[in-house]
Parts: sequence; C-alpha cells; structure tokens
Amino acid sequence: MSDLLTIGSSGVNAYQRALATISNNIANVSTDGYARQDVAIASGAPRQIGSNYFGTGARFDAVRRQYDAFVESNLRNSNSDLESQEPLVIYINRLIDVMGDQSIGLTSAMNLFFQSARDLATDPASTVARSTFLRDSDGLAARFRQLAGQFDSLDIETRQKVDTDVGQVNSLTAQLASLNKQLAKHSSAADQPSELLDQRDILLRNLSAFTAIKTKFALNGAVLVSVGDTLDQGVLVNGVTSRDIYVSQSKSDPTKLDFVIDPYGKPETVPYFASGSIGGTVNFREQVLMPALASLDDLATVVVSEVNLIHRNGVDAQGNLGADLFGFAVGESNTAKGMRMVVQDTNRVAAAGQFRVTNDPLNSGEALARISYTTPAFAGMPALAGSLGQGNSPQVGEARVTIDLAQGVSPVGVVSAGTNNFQLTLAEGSTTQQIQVLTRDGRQLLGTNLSGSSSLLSQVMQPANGIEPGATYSSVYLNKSGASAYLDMDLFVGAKADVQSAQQFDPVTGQVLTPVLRPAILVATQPATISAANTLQGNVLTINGRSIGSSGDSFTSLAAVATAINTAAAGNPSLGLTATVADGKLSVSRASNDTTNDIRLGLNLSAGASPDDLRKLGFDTTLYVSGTAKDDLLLFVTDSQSSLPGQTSTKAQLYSQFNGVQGDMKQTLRTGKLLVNFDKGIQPNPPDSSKLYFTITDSLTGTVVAQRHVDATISNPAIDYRGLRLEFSTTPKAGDMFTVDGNRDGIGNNEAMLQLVNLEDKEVMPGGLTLTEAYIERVNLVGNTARQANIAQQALQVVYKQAKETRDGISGVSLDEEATNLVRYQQAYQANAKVMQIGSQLFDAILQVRA
Amino acid sequence: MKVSTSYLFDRATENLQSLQDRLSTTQAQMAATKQVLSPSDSPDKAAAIQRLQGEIDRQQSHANTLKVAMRRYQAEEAAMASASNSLLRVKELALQAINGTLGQSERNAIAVELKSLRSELLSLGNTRDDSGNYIFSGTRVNTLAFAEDASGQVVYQGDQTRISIPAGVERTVQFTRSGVDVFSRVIRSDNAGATTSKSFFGALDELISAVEISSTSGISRGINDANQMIESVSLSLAKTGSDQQVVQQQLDVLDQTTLRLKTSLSEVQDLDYASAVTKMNKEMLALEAAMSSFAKISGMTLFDYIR
Repeated sequence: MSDLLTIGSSGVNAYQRALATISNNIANVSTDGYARQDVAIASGAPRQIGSNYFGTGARFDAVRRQYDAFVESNLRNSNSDLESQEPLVIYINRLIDVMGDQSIGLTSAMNLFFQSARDLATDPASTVARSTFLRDSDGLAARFRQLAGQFDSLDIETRQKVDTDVGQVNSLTAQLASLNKQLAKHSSAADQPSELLDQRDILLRNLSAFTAIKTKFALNGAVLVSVGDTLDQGVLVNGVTSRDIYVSQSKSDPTKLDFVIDPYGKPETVPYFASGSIGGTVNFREQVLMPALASLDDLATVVVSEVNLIHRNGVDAQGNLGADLFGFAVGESNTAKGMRMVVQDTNRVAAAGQFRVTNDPLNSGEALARISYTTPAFAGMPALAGSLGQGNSPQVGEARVTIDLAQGVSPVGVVSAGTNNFQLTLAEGSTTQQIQVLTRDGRQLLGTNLSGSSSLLSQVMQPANGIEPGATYSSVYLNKSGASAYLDMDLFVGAKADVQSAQQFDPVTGQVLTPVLRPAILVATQPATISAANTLQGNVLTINGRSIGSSGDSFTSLAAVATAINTAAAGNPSLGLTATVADGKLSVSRASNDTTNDIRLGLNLSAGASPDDLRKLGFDTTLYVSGTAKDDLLLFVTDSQSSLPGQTSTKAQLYSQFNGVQGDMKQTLRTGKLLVNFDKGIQPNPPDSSKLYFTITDSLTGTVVAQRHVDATISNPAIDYRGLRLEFSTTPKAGDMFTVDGNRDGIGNNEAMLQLVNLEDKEVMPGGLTLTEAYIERVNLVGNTARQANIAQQALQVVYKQAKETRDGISGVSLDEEATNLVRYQQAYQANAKVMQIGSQLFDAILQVRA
Repeated sequence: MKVSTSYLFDRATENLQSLQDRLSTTQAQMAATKQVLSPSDSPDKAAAIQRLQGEIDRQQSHANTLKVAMRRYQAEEAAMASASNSLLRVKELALQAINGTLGQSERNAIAVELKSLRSELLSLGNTRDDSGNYIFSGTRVNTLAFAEDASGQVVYQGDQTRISIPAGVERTVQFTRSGVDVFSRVIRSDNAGATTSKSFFGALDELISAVEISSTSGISRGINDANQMIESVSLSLAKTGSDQQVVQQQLDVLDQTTLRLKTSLSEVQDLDYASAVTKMNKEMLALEAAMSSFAKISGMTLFDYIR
C-alpha cells in the first residue's frame, strides 16, 4: 500500500537507523582500528497503479564498512618496513655511542698504551714509567673487556627482544585463528559484523609491526597469514589453526638465530624475516653487531700476538727474556672479553733489546757498532732430510739420501742449535761413504778433510746448503776432542755405549728412587763380516782414543780383533775394558763397578777408516753429538768413489734419534759472548785495501767460529752472523775489536719498547691498516650504517604517514563529516515525520467530509 | 580528501613533539658548546673525531718525549762545557809545566791542581740526569760510568749501545751518549808511524806522573793528548748542540701540526654559536606557531555551529 503514512514511516525508520549509525561513528571517533561505517538507504519497491508506478518510500539497506583492502595492506607493509628500521636505529645508535665514546671506546685506551710505551722508551730505567706502562696495558686489556662486554649485553638484549617479539607474534596468530573461527558463522564478508572485521585488521596490523606478512582473505573474511616468500611457505594462520614460531641459537653458526615454525609438528625453517621489528633486530645482529664483535676479536688477537711477540723478544729489568704481556682467559663468550694482562711485576716489563755491542775502549778506529737481531732465513734445508727431524726419542727418524757420484756429496740438513744428544746412524755404510759435519761458517768438525778435494769443497761450501755467505773453510776443529774441540762440543763417530741408568721405583710406596747406574757395554748389533777374505787393517779403528793394532796388522777374525782391543786397553794407564766374543758377536764391557766411563769404538778417519771397517765387527757407523748442540750443525754424506759401473749414484740409509730440543740459536747467542776482531795479524800481506778480515771468536771457549772479511770500500759495512747483524757507522780499522753479548744489565736500553712504539704505525691489520685505524674503520662502518638507517627511517616514516593518511581518508571518522550527516539525517527524519503528519491530516480531512 | 579527526590530532602531536625535540637538542648543543653531543648524533663524524683526537694526543706525547730529550741534552751540555773548561786548564798547566825554568816544587803544585782537575773530570763523567740516570753510561744507566779499579785505573763501566727515542711519526733522535765518545781515548803515533791508543783518564794519569817526575817528553806527549781530549769533548758538545736544534725544530713542527689538527677537530665537533642561536630562535618561533595554530584549528568544529 502506498500511502503517505507508510512512506513517511519507512523514511522515519530508515533515518532513525542512519542517525544511530552516525552516532556510533561519533562515539568511535578515537577508537583504534575502527573503520567508519556508512549508511546505505534504498528506495522501496514501486507499486503499479494502473499504468503508473508509485514509489513505496525508503528502506534502510545496509551499514557499509568504509574499507579498502589494498590501502589496508599497503599500510601493513609500510608499517613492517618502518618497524624494521626502529630497532636498527636504536641499537646502532647505542653501539656507535659505545664504540665512538672517548671514555669507553678503544681509541683512547690504545693511544694511552702507546703513549706510556713512548714514555717508557725515553726512560726505560724509571720504575714510575714502568708501572705507568703496566697500568695502561692493563687499561687496554680492560677496555677490550668492557667493550666486548657492551657488545655482549647488546647481543643478549637483542636476543631477548627477538624472543619477546616472537612470543607476541605467536599470541597474535592464535588470536587471528580464533577470530577466523567466529567469522566462519557467515559465508560472506558482507554479512559479518563490522567490529569483527575491524578486529581482524587491527590484529593484522599489529602483526605487521613484528614481521612482514602475506595475507589472503576468504570470502567470509577469514584470513590466511604467511611469513614466507609465497602463500604456501611459512604459513602461520590457516583457517582456525595457527602455528607457533620457535627461536633457537643456530647450531652451525652460534652467532645466528634459527627460526622454526611448528617444531613439534611439521617443522619448517623460516630462512629470514624480511622486515618488521624481528627482521630489523636480526638484521642488526647479523649485519652490524656480529661483524663488529668479530672485528673486535680479530683486533684483540692481533694486538695480543703482536705485542707479545715484541715483548717476548725484549729483556726485562732483571736481565731475563720477556714473557707474554697479554693473554686470553678461556671460557669467555668471545675472545676479546677474555683479554687479560699477564705480567704484573714492573721489573718484568721487557723494554730492552736482547743483544748488546761494546766497542773496545782502545779501538783506534772511529767505527761505532749497532746490533740487531732478526730470525735468519738461511738457504738450503731448514731442517733434516726425510723424517730425521722427528727422531725425538723414543721415535726414530729415517731418511734415504741419494749421492750423485759426479758430485760426491749429498746434504742431509741441519741439526739446530739446542738439540740434545743427537745421533745419526749410517746403516751399512760402504768403504767410500762418510758422514761430514760442518758449521754454517765452514768450520769442519768431523769427517774426512774436505780441503783434499777442491771440487768437493766447493760443492759443500755453498750458501744453498745453509752456509753463511762469505764463510771460509777451516779444518782447525776437525775431529778434535776436549778443550781443542769446536765450542768444547763432544762429537764422535763410530760405535759408542754410554753408562746406563735404570729408573727405580719403590715397590711399596711407588716413589721414584735414585736411578741405578750400570756399567757401559758395547755389543755388536749385527753379524760380523770379518773373514780371511775380508780382513780388518790395524790402526784404522780406535778404542777410547787408542788405536787397535798398528798399521801393517791385518786381522782375519773377531777373536784376533778382541785380543788387539784388550792389548790396546791394557796399555798405560789401563782403560779398564775387556773385549770378548760370544755367539759370533763382539762385545766390549767395563768393570762392574765402573759407572762413569763410556766405551767408544771409533773410526780413525785420518788413517782412512771407513764405515765398512766397523761393519766388519758388526757395528753401524753412528755420529754422536753428546750434550746440547751449541751451534747449527750442517750434515753431509759423501761418497768418494768417482765411478761405479752402471750407476750414477749411491744411496745412504740414515736413522736419527735425539732427546728433545732445548732453546734455539738465539738463546745460545744470548748466553754466549762473541768477540769480533779485526785482528792486524790476519790481514793479508801485502795489504788488501778493499777487504778487511775479521774473526768471530766465542770468548768462553776461545773457539774461532767464523773468519770472513767485510768490504772495506763500503762506508758503513755490516756483518751477519746467525741472524745477528752488526752495523758499523764507518769502516773499522785493523785492530779494532767489538764484543757482542746478551743484554743483561743494560736497563737503560729501550729497543723492545721502541719496537712496541713502532707497532702503533705498523700496518698489521688486513687491508694495510694499523691497529687504531682498523678500529676507527669499524667505527666508521657502523657509523655509516647508522646514518643510512636514520635516513631510511625518515624516508619510511613519510611512506607510512602517507599510507596512514590514505587509510584514514577512507576509514577514519571526521567529526565535521559526521556533523553534516547528523544534520542531514535529522532533517530527513523530521521531513518524513512531517509527511506522516500530513498523511494524518489528510485522513482527518476525509473523515470531516463524511460528517 | 577527507581528514579524519584522530589523524588531525595525531599529526599535530607528532609535529609538536619533533619541534620540541629539535629545540631541546639545540639547547643541549649550546650548553655543551659542541655540535656533536654523542657519536650517534653524527655517526659519520664519530670516526673522524676519534682519529683527530687520537692524533692530537699523539703529538702531545711526542712533545713530552722531546722535552725529556731536551732536558737530557741540556744536562749533557752543562757537563761537557765544564769538562771542556777543565781540559783547557789542564792544557794550560801542562804548558806551564814544560817550561824548563820551573823547579820541582812548582811542578808538584801543578801536579796537585792537575789531580784535582782529574777528579773533577771524573765526577763530570759520572753526571746524572734529573731521573737519576748516569748520562754517560750508555744504557747501563744505573751503573757508574767511570770508576776506579783496585789499582786506581779509571775504567769505563757503561756500554756503547746507542738508543734513539721516537720524536714524531717516522722520526727518531739519538738519546744516550757513551762516556767513551765524550771522554774518548787518545791516539798516539810513534816516530815509525805506528799508532797506539790510551784511555782518557789513563793519559791524564800519565801526564800527572810526568809532571811529578819532570819528564819533558811525558809532558809534551800530555799536551798532545790534552789537545785531542779538548777536541773530542768539543766535538761531542757540538753534536749535543745540533741534537738540541733538531729537537727544537721538531717541537716547532709538532706545535704547528697540533694547531692544524685542533682546527680540523673544532670544525668537525664544535658549535657555531651565531648559527645555533639563529636556529634556536627559528625553532622557537616554529613551535609557538604550531601550538597556537593547533589550538585554533582543534577548537573549530561544526558542532559549535549547529544549534
């Protein structure tokens, strides 16, 4: 029925609802996430009266949620991006404030350290300067620890933030899942209560603050949320189910965090969080914090190793070699955090250099000498051939060397100074093979005199074999023993038996008792080859220095040799030795109460003895270096036969054994005292104006360890000896003497400290940076990242503001707009009410007509 | 475009906050007279500031080192100047003593004065610096440089190690001076041209005994020796002088470098007051404008007009 009353009342109804909706908008003007609701009013279905259609009034069609899915998603994305910058900016700023600060940054501590090193260098004897240096060294270590501690607390804090954020994400996804359940009641989003949808959007927006998300909406408004690259991966909410994320420290890389979705159901690893606060925090950890921490650790490691290297090479106030200045405590979460100072005693600060040179006060020349030491890099073999260098007792080293017959010699390598009780056995040595021992300065200590063959000598005296350049050959110390031996060392070739010492334990208490000494006994190790066809000549072998038989003798059996040994031993005074033959083996023994003397069956090398002569008695030829080697010994094996049918070379089988290595060349040099003497007596006659000859003598043993010359035409010549370098301010004069020894009381010496000072400018860090520069470079890197993050944050803030403005332009409530609508609907309502009034008046008019 | 009411308020709040923040930063900068209050204010400058600050500290430290060296050189100079005077007197006395008209008692008097000069020279050889180190002992700074042994012979107990100290980047100056460089041995040549050398104090002792026994040849050799002694002390004196000059030049260089570095540092981190004050006024004006305009805009609503 289309009458005024009905039409009016339909209008009144519709606008009443419209007014209610508007008031709801006004009421929710400040509600977070509220989407403005609009009113849709439709006209009623028309009625046909005759050929005309008449309207039937208006009806309230729907409350429409002012919403744009695209704008909303845009807002979420820009929110994620903005939120990702926030932790980055906050944490980076904290990091740069720590690293760049004067009081906690590393630069000031490093500067102080080098400053006090410099002060100490100017007055090395001062206890005050020493303790200041120690204090500032401790300050440097402490600063490393503090800085690492600050980094560490940032590590823990960001880790906790990620944990909290992930917890929030898990709570939000659970809420979304339960919201999806409520949305399931309706099949279309249009039928859903606006408030539910508002709630969904605000949950999604909150979620986007933690991580960038991908969403897909079902027809009824239910949402699918994923953090993966696609909607199939990294799904957190699907319908009514949500999946939790778990964080753990990565097993493969402890500096990283692993994120796993649903670890106890269907585990899925999230490779990364693109943005949001989790993404930003992780980004800070991986891109800024961890590299900074790693570089701090690197820096600490380099500082410690470089400083220790210098300090160990210095000499302290008590004349001792320096120890490590810094060390690392184990068990700290990172290297730098464990940096500690090891030296505590001011006297243990090693400021002085290790070596010292003293000019003889009566030198007539003006030359002043300066000494320095660098680890020498000799040409030739750095150690022994094959595994001979590994023969540290009880191991046995072994090598098989080939001797080219054209050359007649093969180098075996070097026995480093400090090696204890070295032995080298030449197994089955032939009649022509020999072991030769020389020093780096061409002093031949053992073997057959090499000067007999000039070609052989030149083969041996090569810098390529480890010989010092300019060294001259000398046979002064060849096969000598006792005080006339080289540096009083005991070298022996042949077969030797030492007094045996047996370790004893108390059977009851298990305590170690004094070792029991047993007399030496020398027993053949293999069958003797001596026979009537293979005779042993007299005077080629010696027993403890006395020759066995005399030249012209020819022994055909072991028994004859044993008799000859006993005859030699019985001489005046008696050697106290007895030789016997048992089971076809020769054995030489001492009296049962003689626990002091050894037994030496030696080769009389000057009489042409060969290793084969010992084999005749059942022994291999062995080189014995008793005690500690006091110099580097170069070993060679020679073979004197010039040709062998069908062969160009022979082989020598060698075995080695020694009892550890004590000290090294440098330590040996430090304990010794060398005299460099430009002796007038050794200068050539007639004089050679271009060459100035000198000897280097070991003052303690009187051994001339080197005899060379310097080029007198050079204005400031230098002498190198085993790594020591003696530089002269001008050419010395004949007769001048210089003493070189280890620095023990030169407390005013500052060489080590000077090196430490130079470390400040030394480019020891990768990329050719100094220590301080490397740190500043890292500060710079972090600073640039901070600046970029700041700029990015500002830009993203603009983007976010725009997105928010757009969203609010659509979904936000404007009171002015609502006021307009309020007036509009109020007027419409009043007009409709007026229509109803007029309808009623019309009705009254009709009633009056009838009356 | 519709402006929603909450957005209007949010934006106004944000704007006011950022204005206030800027104003407070400017105020803090003015209070601290620094442009960069903490490294995070200007992260890109943090590295430069650290570098410059470190460099300035280093120059300062070099200057301290040089001042120590200077004091040492001055102590050396004083000792050597006195030694030079004493030696001149020694020569003078020796020249008097060689005069054949002098009697034994007069020579004895000369010998007494020579002995006192010898002990004065010995004490000069054992001069200490202000840290208590013997300056002519080389690096054995705690050991008496010249001491008399049991037979009364003076022996040098120091060493010849010459150390240098850092005086700037890539620059070192020599520090210790060996006693035998200053009080150095004398070289005598005989008629055949062969040379022998005699220690400083040994030669002095020989001169004294030559005067005591009136040996003309001994005295004339002593005069020769004294000439050499004077020469060697003068040479050392000249060396110290030139060392001092080098150190002084280096100090001047350091001063200039420090000034230049400080200027650079100031440019980076110090505040320009004039511009800061202008900036602050501008910011205050902006804040006031923002506040009053917001008050007006927010007070305006359509509801006021619907009656």
